[in-house]
Amino acid sequence: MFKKLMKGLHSQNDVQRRADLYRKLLHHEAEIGGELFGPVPKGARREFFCLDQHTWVWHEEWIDENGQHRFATTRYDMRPNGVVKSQNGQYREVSLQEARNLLNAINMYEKRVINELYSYA
Amino acid sequence: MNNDYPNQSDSPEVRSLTDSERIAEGKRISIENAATNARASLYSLHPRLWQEMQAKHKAEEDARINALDALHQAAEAVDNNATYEAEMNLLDQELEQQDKAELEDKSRNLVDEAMPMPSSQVQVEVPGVPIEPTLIDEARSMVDDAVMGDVDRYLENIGGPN
Repeated sequence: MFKKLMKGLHSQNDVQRRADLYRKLLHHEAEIGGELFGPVPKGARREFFCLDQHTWVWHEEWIDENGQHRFATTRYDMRPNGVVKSQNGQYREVSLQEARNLLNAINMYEKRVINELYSYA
Repeated sequence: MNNDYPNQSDSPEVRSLTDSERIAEGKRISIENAATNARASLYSLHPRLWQEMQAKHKAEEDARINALDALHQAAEAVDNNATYEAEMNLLDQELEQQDKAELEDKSRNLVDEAMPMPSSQVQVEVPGVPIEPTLIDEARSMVDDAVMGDVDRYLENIGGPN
């Protein structure tokens, strides 16, 4: 996958090429992350990814029973003394069960993304 | 030979491959660090998570040790079985050799029994042809004849059956 992403980027200048590559990599990471929570309902979209070394993002979009397009972006800021969670701009508490689920998701994400994207040999 | 790139590592292919490796390695390290940070933050938020993880790791470690023990025992069993088989093979070979030796003895006896006697010990009787009498037989015959002659004469004198 990683090699595939690298193809076709040779002719561009280094800065542009690098930016494109990181964008594509993040997209694939988010796709893999979205699969960690089970099947995504039809018409819905789910992404989970590591934005930087202290930030994890869970984004979900769906159509509600009234046909309205809905979305929720949850951001987890990892601080030395705890976790700050913000959802659609509002700060929320992270329960023990949510923390447990998040921990499992991060462990799985680390394993799968490294195996599938960055085991470069 | 590509004269545009006298040093092979300067070619775009090699340079991009090196870049790719560097980027992949950077991303891998970045994700590992992010995951480590996240774990520390979550454990800090809920210390119970830390205890749960410790218990889980201990259970996994115990399971791993048990699996290794089982593997070790299985390997020993295989070794023992191999030794047992080797011993049985050796025993089979010894028995086979004993059987072979016994068979050879038996067949040697059979051969000895079947083997003809030396020609000097063999007396061949041809039907209708009397065996040539020895000197002793001849002497015994002469004595018998003499005795029988005396008997005949006695019978003649007393008016016997003749």
